[in-house]
Amino acid sequence: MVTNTEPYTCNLDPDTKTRLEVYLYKDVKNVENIRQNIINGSWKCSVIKPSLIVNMFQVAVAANRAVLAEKSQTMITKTVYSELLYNLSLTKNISQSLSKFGIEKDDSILVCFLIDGNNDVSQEILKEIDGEQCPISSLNSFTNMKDVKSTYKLNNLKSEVCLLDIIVSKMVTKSFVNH
Amino acid sequence: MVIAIGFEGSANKLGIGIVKDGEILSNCRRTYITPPGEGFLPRETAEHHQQNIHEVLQEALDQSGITPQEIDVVCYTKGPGMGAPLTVCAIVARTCALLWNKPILGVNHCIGHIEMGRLITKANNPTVLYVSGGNTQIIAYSRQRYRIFGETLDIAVGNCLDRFARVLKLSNAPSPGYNIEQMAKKGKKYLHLPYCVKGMDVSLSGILSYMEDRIDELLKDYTPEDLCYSLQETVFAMLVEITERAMAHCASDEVLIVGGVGCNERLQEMMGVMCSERGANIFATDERFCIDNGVMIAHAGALAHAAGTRMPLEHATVTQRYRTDDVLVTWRDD
Amino acid sequence: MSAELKILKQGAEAKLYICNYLGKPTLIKERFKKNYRHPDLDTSITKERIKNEARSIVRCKTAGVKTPALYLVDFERRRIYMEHFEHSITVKDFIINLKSTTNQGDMNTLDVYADLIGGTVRKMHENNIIHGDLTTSNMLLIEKDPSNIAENTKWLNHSNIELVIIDFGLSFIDTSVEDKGVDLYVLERALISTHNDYPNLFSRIFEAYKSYSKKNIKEIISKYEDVRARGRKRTMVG
Repeated sequence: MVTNTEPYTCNLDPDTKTRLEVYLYKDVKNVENIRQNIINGSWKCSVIKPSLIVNMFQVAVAANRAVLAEKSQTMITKTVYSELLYNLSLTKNISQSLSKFGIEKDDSILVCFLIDGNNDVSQEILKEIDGEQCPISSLNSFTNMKDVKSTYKLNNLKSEVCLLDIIVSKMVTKSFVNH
Repeated sequence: MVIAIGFEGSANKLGIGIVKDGEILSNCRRTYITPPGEGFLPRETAEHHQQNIHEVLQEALDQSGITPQEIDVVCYTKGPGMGAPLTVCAIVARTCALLWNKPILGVNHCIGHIEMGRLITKANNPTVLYVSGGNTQIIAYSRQRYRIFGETLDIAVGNCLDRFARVLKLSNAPSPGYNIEQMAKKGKKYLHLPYCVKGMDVSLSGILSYMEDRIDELLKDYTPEDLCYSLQETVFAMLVEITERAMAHCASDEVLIVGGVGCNERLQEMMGVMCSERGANIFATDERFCIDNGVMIAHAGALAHAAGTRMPLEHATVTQRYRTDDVLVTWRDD
Repeated sequence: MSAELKILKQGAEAKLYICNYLGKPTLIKERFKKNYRHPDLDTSITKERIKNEARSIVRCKTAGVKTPALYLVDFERRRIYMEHFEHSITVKDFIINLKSTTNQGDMNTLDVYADLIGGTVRKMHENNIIHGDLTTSNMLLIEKDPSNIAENTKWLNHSNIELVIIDFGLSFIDTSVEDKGVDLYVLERALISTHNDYPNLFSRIFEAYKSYSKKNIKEIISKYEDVRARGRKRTMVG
């Protein structure tokens, strides 16, 4: 599949010299195969369920924490890719986090690469995805607000707060605040 | 030119001193020391002062070479402090004032410390950390008041250290705080203790009760020296922190430490590190003036007297509670 | 990284930097290492303070009080990375500027903002968030929808204005009524010393605070009055 739309790109913490690239796909036919590649570690990337993502910045914040933890050798999970998924969740339970935010039988996916200088494997991996790439701007058509609100415990909000604000703030404080 | 005599006895130190225009002519003192494990109580302390005051008064007059006729004002500690001991000095001071036909002036104990500190160190307008057995305050001068910026929310730091010394049954001679300091110098293992700073204030009763409640278990893993060391490191860090906050707030670059706990070299050292990181100067006095003494009362009284402050005899009373910021600082106009 | 960091402010506790981080304008609050402290004590105090600050900031959000979004809490580098409001004005500056552009008797203009402040502080206290340093320098006005209105009038368009509370460095979570009284007293003193052209400002804020809800209000008022009567927070014993 020819990739003809730009991914979301974000430079992560300068000390890590890493940038994040995220691609959005729909109508993915080989999800099971993709999942196996992630689990057995042969694909160096994170694959996320877009339904729980309100904004790419949410992914950037999780990715940033993951690469910093990798650098300081304080990761909670085994790889920086699983760490990214873990950082999206509010729970400290690793397998719950991975199954919640990772893909299973979904047909739309977000594929995230952490690129630092020379090891850009994104194009090789993307070639193997049997699906249609979508512009990043269409993310919200995949977002499931009901699930987002229940995952991030946003149903009791007292007034109109910006959801992305509260989501990322909760994500980055989960290790010492009970959300 | 004012010659003043000062009587101090608000706690367990009885001090009488004579000063002439900022020059110290005599500074005599006796300390009531209790057995290890015991603190001093008002009645016995008052008895101690009563038993020694005439001797100390004679000593102060003899050493100074001043006669009662030459004295301009008789000063005494009006408060704050313990009621019965304060009363002993007040009675003798009043008697002297009447006998010698001189004006009497009650002085705030804290202000005595501050003005003595400024005199000895020549600090101009410092942020003052006043720390003793009975007081813990951060003070800065502004518009004719020594204003309290921060203080203890419960007990004074000296009280905290003294009570811990009792728990360890350390000797009270020359003072429990001094003995904790010497023990702390030999401490090696650091114990994490509750640290409590709230804004510009500190709370010390928590750390004391933490130690008191667990002392037997703690002594299994830590030596008494380690505990003294850890206690000092923690409470002094709290004091340095509130001092720094007050300095930042007032844009001050001078710190003056006064009061008995101010003699502690570790406290002075820690404060010195903070000051050098800010480019500020630290001032402290030695045990002659850190520890309660009569000459500081004389000097503060002399300043007030020279500025025109007078006190009718009927007002020459004592009071246990007397806030530093209640006094109108008539002798400064900056 | 250091080359791109611009210092905004430096206090006794921390330095504030501004930069662009993860594509957003960001404020970094970096706490100093204090060399007078035992290293273990320093690490533990700093970590505790960072946690308290971040906790208060997040808790405000669920309480409906706007605070900066948090992007990263970094214990190792002793930093909090948070949202920087590039187009904002402190309430302090807003009030000071107001004096020079409107009439003195125009207290009515301030009423809306005073009500907003009172309600906001009340929401914080209802959620047991004690700010610890309530001053008008720690409150920002931002536009809900960015406009192109001129600087000196945009802040007066109060239907498009939101209040943001910042600087939670001295904050903590506590159910104590006394601490709420102290918080209010600190605010009152700050207003008296900085904005004495508007002597009724605190009472208007306090009215809004009181009328926001009835829960515990009598005790809070009573404690606040105690604290105020004492002049400072405690009486001293000799």
